[in-house]
Amino acid sequence: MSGVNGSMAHLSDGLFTTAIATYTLAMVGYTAEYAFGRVGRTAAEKAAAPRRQLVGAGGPSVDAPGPSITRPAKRPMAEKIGRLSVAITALGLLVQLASLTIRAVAVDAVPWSNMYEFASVAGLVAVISFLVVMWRAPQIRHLGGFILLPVVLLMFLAGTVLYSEAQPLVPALQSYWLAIHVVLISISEGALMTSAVMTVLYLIKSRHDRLAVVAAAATASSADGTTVVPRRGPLTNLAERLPSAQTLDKAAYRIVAFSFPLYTVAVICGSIWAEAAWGRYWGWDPKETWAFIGWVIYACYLHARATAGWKGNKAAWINLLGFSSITFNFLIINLVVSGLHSYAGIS
Amino acid sequence: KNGEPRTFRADLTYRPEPDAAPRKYALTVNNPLRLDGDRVYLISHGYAPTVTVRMPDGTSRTETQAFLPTDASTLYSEGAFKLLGKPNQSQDVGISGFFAPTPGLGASGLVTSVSADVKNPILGMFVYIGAINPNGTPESVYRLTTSGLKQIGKPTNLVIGQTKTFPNGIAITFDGWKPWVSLQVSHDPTQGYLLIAAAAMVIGLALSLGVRRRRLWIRIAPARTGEHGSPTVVTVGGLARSDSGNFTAEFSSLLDRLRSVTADEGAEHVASETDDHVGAVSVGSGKKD
Repeated sequence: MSGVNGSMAHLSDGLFTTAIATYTLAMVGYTAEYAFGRVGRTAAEKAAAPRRQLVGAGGPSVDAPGPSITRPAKRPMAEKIGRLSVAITALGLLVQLASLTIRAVAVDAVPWSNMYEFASVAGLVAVISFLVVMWRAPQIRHLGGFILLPVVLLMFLAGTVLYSEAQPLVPALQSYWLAIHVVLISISEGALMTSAVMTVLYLIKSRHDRLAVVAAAATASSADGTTVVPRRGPLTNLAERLPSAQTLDKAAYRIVAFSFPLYTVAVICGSIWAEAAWGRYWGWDPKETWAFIGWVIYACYLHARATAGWKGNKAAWINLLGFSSITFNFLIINLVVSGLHSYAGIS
Repeated sequence: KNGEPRTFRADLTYRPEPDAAPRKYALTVNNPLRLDGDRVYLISHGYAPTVTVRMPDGTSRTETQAFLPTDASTLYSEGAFKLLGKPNQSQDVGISGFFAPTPGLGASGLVTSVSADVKNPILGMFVYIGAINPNGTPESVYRLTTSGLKQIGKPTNLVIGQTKTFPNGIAITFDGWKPWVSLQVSHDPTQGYLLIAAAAMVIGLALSLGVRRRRLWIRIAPARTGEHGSPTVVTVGGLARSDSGNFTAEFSSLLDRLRSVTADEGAEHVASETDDHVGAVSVGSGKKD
């Protein structure tokens, strides 16, 4: 393997696997905080808080509201685990960054010239997006498991099915545009993955809220004053512990508002590179076409979110449609459809 | 060294004008030659084998023909030679063949190429005699239409310098090979304008997402028109576009400020409703308008 530092490539692969393990550990921690933490417990236990009864000396019990019994024992522990998980996530981030940097040194090129490296960068950005959103809105910390799950799956896929040996850049990719176009695409798509996860959680919470409203209305209008409780489905436990639907929707939107212009610039850079390499700035190559489709769908999402009647759930579904098209573009177009863009690195 | 190409480069000598001095340029995949608004691109490359054929009438001809790669990574190529003899004699010689730059045995036992590098290449051929394309219909230079032709001899694989002799006195020698490149010349005068338009679009997009547009309407009217001493009703409405959800909170805090200011002056708060990004509040004031 001339031109490739074999031992560094090996080290890079080892660090990649370590990063996956670290993220998985953090995932376990987040899930623990999610299940046992204050946010979760408070929401689930509100209705069940027992009340003390005042007992007069020798007299009948007086039903007066006393302070509700609090259960402080588990909460600080869960929060500690949550904070520890953030630290572990940051550690995993550093390990993954090291893996990419050493891989770059090993092949003497930027570390995003095939599907394996690209997926690693996208996963890195997804985690960074989550950390940034969490820094602005700390109440979503316990959702880390939901973000890390697709990241770990993506990295696992990258390290197995999509993996390619470290090798020198193919001639078509020997251009400074590789550093610009591909990294912008992977940053914007990594962030959009985090937005998609937020959107899924938003849809769950939104449905939960709607059912609660329906139940409350039924309670208010019930003839004999019975309390109507919404039916508990498989996602109810999950939904009770989620932050407000508005928080999730806001987080998802903000990520798209950041990523969409970046994605636009990335596609334009790709066109400029296509002009230098293939003689035309746009040729409806399958990858170009699908990049455009994804762009249009996310533009629809931004419009929908500002349009009465389309805000909320409908816009959320458009977000997920956009992310599906990006995933389709990444997996199917690279591997199945043949076009000018086949630099997947997979033989 | 592992058979993968490191770089594709065509060293060109060109003249920007017919009477200008020649200049040199190294054309590579990502660096086209840009001349006064036109561009020359290096699109692909391949091999053109050379053969010498002794025709049935005794004359010898040497021809080089570009073969087209069917496999991009190993440059296993296919093509044809069409050597026309005297007209109406059905003495044309046609060769339909393949060129394997670095030969190896494929899965089916047939010769294939294992690398795009040229190492002891093999020219494999089927040789035909007859009238090639008697009607002059347009056809591909890379493919020989064999209907109406008679195959002579068995399919043969030759290495460089090897000769195969056929009946009728036909002898074919594989002399060697030359590389070929294919170039594309492009002309698009609107490109530059499109780039400017794209940049403008991105700037507009960033502004539309970054600049927060919020509107407030405040209507101040007497509660009962024409009546002396009727309280004043202040109605406030707000609308935000492309906002990230902060406007609701902002609007509420604005209303609170308004309420606290008017409360100082003895106002009475009647009703308030907020609904998404459009909110309204009526504040009754005891003052005369």
